Amino acid sequence: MSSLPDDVWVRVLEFGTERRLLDYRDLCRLARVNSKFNQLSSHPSLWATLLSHDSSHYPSSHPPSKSLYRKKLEEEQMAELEARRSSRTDLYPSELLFNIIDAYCHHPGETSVNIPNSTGPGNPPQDCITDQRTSRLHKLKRGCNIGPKPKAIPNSRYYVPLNKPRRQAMPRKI
Amino acid sequence: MITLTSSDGVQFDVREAVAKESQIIRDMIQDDCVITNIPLANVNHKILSIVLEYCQMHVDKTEMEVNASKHQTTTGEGSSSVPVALKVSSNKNLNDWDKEFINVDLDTLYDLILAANYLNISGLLNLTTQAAADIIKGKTTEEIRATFNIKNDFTPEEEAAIRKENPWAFE
Repeated sequence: MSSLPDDVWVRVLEFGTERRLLDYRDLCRLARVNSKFNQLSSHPSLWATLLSHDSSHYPSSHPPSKSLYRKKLEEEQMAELEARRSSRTDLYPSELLFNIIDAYCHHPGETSVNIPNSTGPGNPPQDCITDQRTSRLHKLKRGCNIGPKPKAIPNSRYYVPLNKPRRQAMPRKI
Repeated sequence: MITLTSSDGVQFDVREAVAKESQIIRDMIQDDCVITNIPLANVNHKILSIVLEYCQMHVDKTEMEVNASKHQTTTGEGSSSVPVALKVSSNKNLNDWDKEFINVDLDTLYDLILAANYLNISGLLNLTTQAAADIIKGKTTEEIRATFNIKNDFTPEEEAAIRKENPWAFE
């Protein structure tokens, strides 16, 4: 079958991508078969078809290619990940969680939160672990777009309860 | 009637309509209407008989549909839903028949693709290329090599480079 002429193989692959029988994974697997298939499966027309099927931002000014498809796919995966992450922060009272973890990191042992503690032989000293946890916490915070925790004093002028919606500006009176 | 001669000298007598499923024969007949014997240098008798079986079936089905709709218009009775239902069911039968028809071994499929390409029979070419694409679909690189008996001609360095290039698709 490998001795089918190249133009017939291109036809098979084109037909397969047009009918959505073959996707980018199939083409990437084909690329690893041998040098001929590596060349056939990177034909721009195949990736143009896949881009028009899978990417919402196509046609674009760039000529279609495997690398463009890869770029678009990775962009869209990132966007999806972002969206999922931001929806997750809506679901959980994340600030509450941070308070607990913060408290634990600064005063380990005083909180009742059960975070696995590793003080066995051969493990790094406690300070190092705390450092790692805090840096991880900062990463987590950055990911959720929450700045440093504001000092909230109940009954003060700046106190905003956790679940209260943000105050809207009043319409200007004319 | 038209006589088609295979590459190994076997003659097939077929109706003109059946032979005309092939674009290349259609063009020949249009250019010169007294043509009765067409030699096909690239198709052997085994493959030609399978190709003609396909053409015969599709011509018969189309003619049956045309007759049915003619009958419908001449009698002038019944709602429009009847021929539609008839057409749908006959299409379904034909699709089932196609599926059964293309259930052949790989060498035959390979020859059928080449024959359909050479004779330019678009329906058969679509059917066979789809079957080939179906075989590739979902297979790992190793499975594709084994199925189509393909030798890996990459040098170890090339293979490493290709491996590095493509993993984004499998994460």
